[in-house]
Amino acid sequence: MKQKKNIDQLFNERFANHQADPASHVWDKIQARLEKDKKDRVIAIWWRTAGVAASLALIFSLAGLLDNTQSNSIVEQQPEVKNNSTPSPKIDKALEINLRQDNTRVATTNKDAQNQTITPQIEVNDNKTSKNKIIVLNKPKNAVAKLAVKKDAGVPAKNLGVAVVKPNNSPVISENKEIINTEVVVPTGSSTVIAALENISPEGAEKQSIFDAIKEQKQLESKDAVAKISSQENLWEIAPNIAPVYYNTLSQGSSIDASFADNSQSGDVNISYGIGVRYALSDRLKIRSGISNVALSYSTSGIELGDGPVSLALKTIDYASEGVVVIAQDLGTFSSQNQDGTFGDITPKSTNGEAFINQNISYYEVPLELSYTLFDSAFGLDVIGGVSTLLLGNNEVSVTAGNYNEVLGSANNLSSLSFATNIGLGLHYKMSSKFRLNIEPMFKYQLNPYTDSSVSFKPYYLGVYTGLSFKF
Amino acid sequence: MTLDQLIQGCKKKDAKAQAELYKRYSGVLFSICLRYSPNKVEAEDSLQDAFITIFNKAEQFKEKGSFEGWIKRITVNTVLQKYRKQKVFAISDEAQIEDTANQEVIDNGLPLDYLLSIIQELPQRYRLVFTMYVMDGYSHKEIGGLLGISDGTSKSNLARARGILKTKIDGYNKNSL
Repeated sequence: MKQKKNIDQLFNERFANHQADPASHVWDKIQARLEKDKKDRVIAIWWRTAGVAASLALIFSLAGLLDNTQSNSIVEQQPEVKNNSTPSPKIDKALEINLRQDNTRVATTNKDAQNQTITPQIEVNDNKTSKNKIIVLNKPKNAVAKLAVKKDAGVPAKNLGVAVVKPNNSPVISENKEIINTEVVVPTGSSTVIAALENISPEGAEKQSIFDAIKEQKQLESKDAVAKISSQENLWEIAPNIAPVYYNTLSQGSSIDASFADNSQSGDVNISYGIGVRYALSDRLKIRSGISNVALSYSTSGIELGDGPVSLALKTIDYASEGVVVIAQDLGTFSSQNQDGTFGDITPKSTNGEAFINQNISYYEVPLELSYTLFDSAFGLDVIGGVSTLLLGNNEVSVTAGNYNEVLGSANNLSSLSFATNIGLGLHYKMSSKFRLNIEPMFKYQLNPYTDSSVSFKPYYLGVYTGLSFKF
Repeated sequence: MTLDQLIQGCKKKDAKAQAELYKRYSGVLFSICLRYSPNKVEAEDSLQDAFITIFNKAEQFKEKGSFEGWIKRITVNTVLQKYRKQKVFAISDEAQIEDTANQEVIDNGLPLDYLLSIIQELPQRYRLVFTMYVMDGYSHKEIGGLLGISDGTSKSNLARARGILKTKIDGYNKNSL
């Protein structure tokens, strides 16, 4: 039946409810891409976690360093501390201790003309009833502390305690929580505190424990102090570094396509930068790690370029566009193929100058290396060896020809996680006891850069890592 | 699975929901891709890209509008993105507009495959403009905005597309007599 129809109406009607079943491989490809995205996300999360862990480690080690040097001053800056919060249960319930700098309420027996320093007084109030008072004396010239106890008239003494604050010339003990909590703190001008609480109350048995506790604490702290002193031998070293890195291959193959295997390839020089951490295991042996970003690139020449469907393009590249794309082929392929029409869909590009394919890769590198010091004076020499974990960062394949430059997409055969073996020399010059200038030529050979094991491309990179290191 | 469950599942990137979504809508969306692409292979590539975008952007879908409308728009945009970048043909006197809106052809049961093939054979931009205007209801202004061309160019491209299609259909009818 013949029917005249408006063109728009014809197409509109016929395609209104049109459905077409795509080939089954479409869904397979979608699934593969979803899976890859998921993997990438996992790696990203791993990477973030590792980054956070590394920064925390760095912060803590720096904080530890600062803590060592500042613990003295923290106490000294606070000659008078008031703490009315929770009282220490070991001393008494609801103790309120006031540190005073006047002497007026101290019992006269203790007044000594030779006492040149300020004598702080501590008042102890038991549940607001002021049953007991403890007076603390600071007698810098007397090793033996004199005690003065003042009783409130008319109130029976149930609980009398005396705290003695003694100056001490030995190294600072600063972190006695017991003492700080009960407000017996350093008097002005004294760099050191040792506090002892003596109990003269009938409930001596209970109070005795305070004395013991303080003794224990003292012992613990002296141990601590020893530990701190030994840790101050600058076992850690932090070393920011920057390096020119040259990337090339040990073999003839091409990572981009087997057809380029005999093309001339040249490595480019890029930059690696990062920060390293070293820990001295012994005088000569150090373990090193850190994190750096390393950019690598190389170019392949002897190619020609054309426009054509993505189905005819290089298989190792995920193209940014999926329609007509720029196709790179071994030089002479188009002209020879065009005769039998196989490449009829490709339009050769007319470009000026020689065409190159450039592969640009960046990795996040986490090395784990050992270094052994051969000699160490003003100038020193280390041998370094280890492995690096490489996490793929940027990945881009582009083509250039004269002024023409186009990014094709990303290589799909690069491992997102790979490893390298590292070997090198470390030359260093001591600028001071803490700072060193380092120059470290390193050779790093990649173990599994490609997911496709058939790729006969064996990349390595050479870098001269330069930087200052700081010991702490 | 209700549509709502399907959408919620896709927002959570649930693999089952994603498979179900593909099963339900791949036919409709593939039809769009076929109309906008020069061949089946490229249509399949576009469909793949469109679904990836849909799955990745599912959480951005606001419940207010139609879900089918939303995924269709994503599909059209995905295809357009691919071809918009290409300036593959230069057409002379684009602004010269012929009135082709009322051109008529004889339809004695033209096969759908044939109609699809002549759309795909149209030059890139003619195909995009014709499909957007005639089958997906975009205005010339919208088309101009999406393709980066003027309203006039869109109208001119549409007229030329109609002309080419009419010539082909007339030829087909003549041959099948």
